[in-house]
Amino acid sequence: MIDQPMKTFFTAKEFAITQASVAALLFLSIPLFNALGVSNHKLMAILHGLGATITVILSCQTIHLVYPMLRGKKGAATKLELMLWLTNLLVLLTIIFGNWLYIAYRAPDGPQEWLMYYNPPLHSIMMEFKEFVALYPLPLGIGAAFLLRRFRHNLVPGSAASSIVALLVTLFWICLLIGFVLGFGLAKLKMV
Amino acid sequence: MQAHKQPKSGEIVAVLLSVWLGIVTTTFCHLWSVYNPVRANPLLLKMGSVIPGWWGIGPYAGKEVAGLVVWLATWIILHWTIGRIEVALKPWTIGFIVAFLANLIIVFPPVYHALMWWPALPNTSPAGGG
Repeated sequence: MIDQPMKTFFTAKEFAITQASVAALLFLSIPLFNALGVSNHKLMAILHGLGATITVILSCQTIHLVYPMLRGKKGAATKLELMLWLTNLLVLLTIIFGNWLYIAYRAPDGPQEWLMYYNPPLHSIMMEFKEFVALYPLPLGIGAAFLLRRFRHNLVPGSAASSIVALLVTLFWICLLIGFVLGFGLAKLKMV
Repeated sequence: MQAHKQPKSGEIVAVLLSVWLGIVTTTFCHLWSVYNPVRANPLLLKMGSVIPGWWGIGPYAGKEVAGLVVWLATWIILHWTIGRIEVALKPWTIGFIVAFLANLIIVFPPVYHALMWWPALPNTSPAGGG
């Protein structure tokens, strides 16, 4: 008698969706913990934190769509462009929330004064670097999305246009991560 | 397959150049406000006053507005000029990477503070840096 291999119970898609849902739920809970905090500026803090977290999660999906686009997979460029516009919108929103939160950050008796008093490099290096680098994803992402739209019919593998889009998206992702990690670090040290 | 008219490669250069110019404008405004806050900050505050909450955001609002305006204005101008011709992409792309990294290094505070000076502590007056 020949053993028949048992049939699978779950599909790959079901595993992937389960993992992604749990990851999203748990990651989003990180900024949401601020709701239980003692801050006077919870709304701006949560909106900026949620915006940054969702943006970084989406940007990971976006940068992973770059590779099939580079290999010339059919439909990859369209998918990448859609994800990129969505991420760009979230980048813009997060910058706006960041500016709103920045008012409380630099207000008298706020975190800027606290950091400058206890450990100045936390403001004068971390924050001063982060506040500029975190702006760069906006022009980089919009530029990349615009080029994808204009050159969508000419993105053959090995074309200069596709590699420049990949370059812009890679820089976009690196700058997002710099902003995210430094912002996260600052929030761990002193909440607004 | 249907043939599509390919846009000129100058459009790519217009994007690269305008993105870099916008970014470097924020860096320039920031370095200026560190170097000469008495002259720079009133102007940056005035430019930033188109942003809601500028009074609390401080000179940083002006740096953002300057970068945004330079990025979008140069993009429009370059798109309608260099965007209409074919250009060699390789030197522009390498130049963009080098210039982008150079900006990333110069905007790192230990670098520009070492070239100028470190701010007096604490720097939290309403017109102070940021």
